[in-house]
Amino acid sequence: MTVFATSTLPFQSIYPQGIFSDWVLARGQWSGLRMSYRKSSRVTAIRASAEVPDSGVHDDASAPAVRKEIELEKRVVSLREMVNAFPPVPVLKETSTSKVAIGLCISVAILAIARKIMLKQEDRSYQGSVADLVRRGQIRSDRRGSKAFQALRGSASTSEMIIRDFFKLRQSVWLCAPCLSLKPMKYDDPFNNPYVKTDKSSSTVEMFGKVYRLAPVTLTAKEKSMHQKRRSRAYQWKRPTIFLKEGDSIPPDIDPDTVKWIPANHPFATTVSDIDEDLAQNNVYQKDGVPFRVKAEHEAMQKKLEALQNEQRVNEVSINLNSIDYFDQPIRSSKLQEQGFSNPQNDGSDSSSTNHHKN
Amino acid sequence: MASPFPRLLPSLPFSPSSPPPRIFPGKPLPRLRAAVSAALQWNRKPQLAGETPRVVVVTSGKGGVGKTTTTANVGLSLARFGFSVVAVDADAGLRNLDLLLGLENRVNYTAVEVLNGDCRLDQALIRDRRCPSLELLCISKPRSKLPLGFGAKALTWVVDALRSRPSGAPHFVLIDCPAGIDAGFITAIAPANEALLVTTPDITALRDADRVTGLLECDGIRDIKMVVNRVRTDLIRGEDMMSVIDVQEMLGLALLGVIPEDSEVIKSTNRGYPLVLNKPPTVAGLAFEQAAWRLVEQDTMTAVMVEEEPKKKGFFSFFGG
Repeated sequence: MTVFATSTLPFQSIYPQGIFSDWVLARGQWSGLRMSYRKSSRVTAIRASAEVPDSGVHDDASAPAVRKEIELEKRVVSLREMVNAFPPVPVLKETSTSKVAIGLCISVAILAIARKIMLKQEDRSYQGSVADLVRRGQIRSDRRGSKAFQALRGSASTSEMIIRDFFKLRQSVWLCAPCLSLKPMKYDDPFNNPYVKTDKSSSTVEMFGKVYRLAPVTLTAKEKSMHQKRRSRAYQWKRPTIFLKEGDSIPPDIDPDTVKWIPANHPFATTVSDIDEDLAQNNVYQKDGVPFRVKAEHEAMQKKLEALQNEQRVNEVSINLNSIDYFDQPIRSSKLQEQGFSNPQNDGSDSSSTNHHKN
Repeated sequence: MASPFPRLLPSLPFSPSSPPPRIFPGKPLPRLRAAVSAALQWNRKPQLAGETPRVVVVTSGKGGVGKTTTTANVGLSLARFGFSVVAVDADAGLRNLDLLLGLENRVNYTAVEVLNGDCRLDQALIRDRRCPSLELLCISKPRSKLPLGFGAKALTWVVDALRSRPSGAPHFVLIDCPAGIDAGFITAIAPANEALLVTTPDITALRDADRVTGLLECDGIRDIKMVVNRVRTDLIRGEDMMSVIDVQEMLGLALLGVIPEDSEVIKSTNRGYPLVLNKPPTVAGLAFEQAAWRLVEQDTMTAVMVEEEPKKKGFFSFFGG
């Protein structure tokens, strides 16, 4: 509720009273302006009316200064009167109820708009379950032949896409709800639930709006055995135990009816003998521990690593040994020279010294 | 039909199959019985019959009749009933049970990797997060090859290993058989004790189903039940499609379920969300649940639903008359 603070000064409005008040009300309501009461105009007007000097009294000594002051004040007064000629801006006193009302109106408006968009998008965003195939990565959306679908995706605005994604998320959450919930899924009795209504008196069943009559099954035990005999005469088949390729000979003690011939161009015509059956059976029956192949690969890698490490050590040792020979030779030769022995290379006794070293 | 009283409450003073006790001698209490059954109805569960694990092969002969859909939905129904189920996709070359269950991104190891020693059997089993008592095992990835003749042994070892696993044997092992009667069929039926024959009410599927039934009986599988899929009651009423009774008379097999044609099947395949999980349930979903119930109790259908003409509404029908 806005309260207009009235001015103490009488003023002449340039607008008719009714329009002015409506305009001010409208401005106050929609813009929510904080309107201030101009106190300065009142004070200045009072001062202006109080301080206007008498024109008949003059002081000869300060007349020009006084006149200047008076002129300045007149100008100020005229300016302020011009400003005051504009319609005053009333003061709005805001209350909490106005805030609540405004908030309520805005929220209602937003909800109405959102609901309209959602209703529109619900019709358009439900693109069918094929969209789930795209979501699962089974088909690509850009390769779909449906132009309408592509047009819909291309023309969607940001807000529509956000709402569409919201629907998809809601649907996915709903679909995943059973797995998210900790309680076991409650199910209805398939024979007795609101969708299945059985009328025993008239032998009818009403399901999903349709009425069905219950017709008893006519198959008897005798007819059943008759069919079994018919089939046993018509179909003679034995489970194959041996699989042979074209060109292979049949083993002598094998029933030919249990031989299955594999054509050469069969896509799964791999050799049977490649697989170690005992090992495969053990793999199937393994309950815990590392699977066989993983373990074998791990052991093979370990062995290879050890072999590499050993090889490195051997190489290091050989390098060290070679480095010892290289450094030892000049030292030995210098020592021999000191002791008076001749250069082994010149005397031809190098081989004997090297042989001695090797030994 | 099984008793309506569940066996989940052993503290009941009466056994499920016996009538309730009489407080006042000579005066039965039908209202009390009805009230108790009504209160317990929502928690009714089927009673498991037969030796566990029950190894059931889902086969048809003809392709495209709904074997994989039946395997996925019946398997999930069984899991929802509280039974542990292992679904095996025995199609070595064309794997698609994982697609129907929405588990295609979680298949890392298959039975071939188990045979080769790349992983253990429990590592190859994929647990469905929606229903933890359902596990999926794929035989092989499309690029890997399982030698012909070796698959039957391998699958038999797998089922035997499941029987003796530390976490307990599953109640059901459902094997999704590939189409045809070639090596894949021979592999899939090797460890099975029972068979679920899926067919549609058209002559081509019936002929193949008859042949497959003959082969199953030659291999020693005698417990064969039939599921008639994609039934159009409107066409049956107009005599453009064989009725379920006609199908049964042709094949001579006990009826486990009749699944009506439902467009939700395609949608559920696209979503990777089996039909039986839809809420509200669909026509086909309810039919699958009923078939799963009968499978648990080793029961068969004694009556078939035949669509009738809708009731003609009278003048005062809009008043509620």
